[in-house]
Amino acid sequence: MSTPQPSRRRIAVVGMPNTGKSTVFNRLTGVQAKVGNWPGMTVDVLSARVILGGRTVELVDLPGLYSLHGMGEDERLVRHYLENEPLSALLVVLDATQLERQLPLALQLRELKRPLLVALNMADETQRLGIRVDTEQLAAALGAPVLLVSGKHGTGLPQLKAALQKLLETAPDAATNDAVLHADAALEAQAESIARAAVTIPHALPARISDKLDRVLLHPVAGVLIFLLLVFGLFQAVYGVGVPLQKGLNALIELGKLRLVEPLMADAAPVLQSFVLEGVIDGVGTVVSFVPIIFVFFIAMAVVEDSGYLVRVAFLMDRWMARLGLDGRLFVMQLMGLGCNVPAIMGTRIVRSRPRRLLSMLTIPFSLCSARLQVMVFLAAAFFTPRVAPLVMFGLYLTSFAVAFGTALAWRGRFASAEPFVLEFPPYRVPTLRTLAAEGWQSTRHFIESAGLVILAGVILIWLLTHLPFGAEPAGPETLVGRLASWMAPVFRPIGIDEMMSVALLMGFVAKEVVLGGMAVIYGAGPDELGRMLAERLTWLQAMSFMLFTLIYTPCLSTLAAIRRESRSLAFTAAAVAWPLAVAWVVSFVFYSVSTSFG
Amino acid sequence: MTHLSLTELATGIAAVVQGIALDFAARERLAALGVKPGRTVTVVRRMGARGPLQLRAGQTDVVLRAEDAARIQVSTA
Repeated sequence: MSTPQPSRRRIAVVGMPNTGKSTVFNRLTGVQAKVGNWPGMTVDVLSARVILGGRTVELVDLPGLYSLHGMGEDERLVRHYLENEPLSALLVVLDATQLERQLPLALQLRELKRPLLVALNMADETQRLGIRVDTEQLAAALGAPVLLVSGKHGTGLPQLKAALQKLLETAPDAATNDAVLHADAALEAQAESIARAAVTIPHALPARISDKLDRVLLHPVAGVLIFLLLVFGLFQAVYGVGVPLQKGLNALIELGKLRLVEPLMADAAPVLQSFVLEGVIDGVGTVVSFVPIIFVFFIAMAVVEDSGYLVRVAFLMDRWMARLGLDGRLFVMQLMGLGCNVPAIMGTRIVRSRPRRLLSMLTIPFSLCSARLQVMVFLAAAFFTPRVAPLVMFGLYLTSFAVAFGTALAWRGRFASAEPFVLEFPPYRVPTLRTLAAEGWQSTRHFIESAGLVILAGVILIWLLTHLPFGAEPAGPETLVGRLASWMAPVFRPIGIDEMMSVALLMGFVAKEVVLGGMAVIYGAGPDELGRMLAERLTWLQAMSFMLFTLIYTPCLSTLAAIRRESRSLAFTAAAVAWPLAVAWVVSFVFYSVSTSFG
Repeated sequence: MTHLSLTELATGIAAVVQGIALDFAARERLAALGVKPGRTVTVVRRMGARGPLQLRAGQTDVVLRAEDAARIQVSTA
């Protein structure tokens, strides 16, 4: 059942994880790669159009896989892709320093009977290690051209492009292939004999720098301490650089709104003015304000991942995280979520197992992010003495971690991972600026493209809820949000939250920091008076219950947009709203009813 | 020749893999990483007695959990 598409030429880039496959892909395509939309794909697959010899060719960067017969999720996906999508040729990227182990994959791919080009990456490392590869002999054995390249330094890339072009001239049009992919012990034996003939490895390899580094970085005590220090440093770096950029960008948008849009809208009807300024522009502003943080975050995470350290983190932290059904690498995301949940959710893609990622996406939103921190600090200062307020904050952090771990424990059975926990330890490598920039840029663009509209729509929806019907006091009892709040009053009354406060909670769905602005609007108070006014109207028990609820209840709109994008499931996204709402209500209810029964 | 499981193998001692009593998915992954019957491996380090261990097979290092390592039989010369 082949479906030829005469005009399309498509080359899939295939290889094992940690071979620098994506670096080679980036070298060939530049940074204009886009996430392709393939049926049945639950992970991002990048593709890009490049011109080779005057013809447009689509290059597709498939997820790394160890074997065509493997049971891992990525392996299934790649197999599905190779069997169902029309392809003109395959570019196989192998790590030249580990050829013996990597050749079976090339032989398996040869079974697909597609034109094959083999790029031996890490040419720089083979040289350093004294490993010699006879590419001609290898090419003869594989029946495919073989080239030594270094994706990192760009050596051999022009030759690779030329070879691809030559391959396409003789290649048939893109077509699917339903050759049965079968496991074959003979392939393994063949790979061994090819490697023996074509690869010369010196008897004594030079002492690896990685081994020396690992002696310190993987030390059971020193290693863990260094890890915690590194995460702290990473956190400071990401938010130390990202947050000022974010503030600058916000100020710029505010300025544009004040100087440009407001004068332009001066004659428009007040409702339209409000819609444009508070609905559309603030919505765009919300999306844009994430850009610096996501950009910096993904550069930092690319450093951690590409350097080879992330796998070491799994080694260091696995003993504890395994009990929660997670793994050590997701612990990093849980901590990074303390800054902002959105990039942390996106960052879970470092783990290839889907159930494990989903479980992590369920726990990360409980990390007390900086937006919620603003609300908590304000309320703690308004209701508690300077001596008690820090204790309240500490209690909130403890609650945040307890709820996150409790959630992991409660759901780990439902999201059990079938992926074997066998990870490759690549040697430490210095990432190149080029790949870091590509990583930051691609993640940011994907966030804007896939989450941007959802966030904008959400902000506009909240604007409508707080302003319809027109003529009513914004966010007042007459508006939709006010009616919604009075309808929900029986739910909120048992936890000590009145209708006005619940309107603020509804508004906080857009972004948690909006809770404060919302309360200021609802109570008609400036930020200075708000604290005093709240302290007069609410008991400290009510305030505490409100803080607990705000801490736990629904992830903000942007986090949800990220969850929907990463999980590619509306049902899961709905669960990611329902579960924290239920937990928030129960926690607040237990707190409020127990404490009031004592009071 | 002594037969023992990977969890009992001291660090730094070369041993030959004899059998792997794990499910197909794990065996396939280990084989792709160079850990399969007949291959020589060494335990580089352990994260405590029950923690994961770092295993070296040829040019490749892998990390696996102690509970899985207990089901890999090796022999030393």
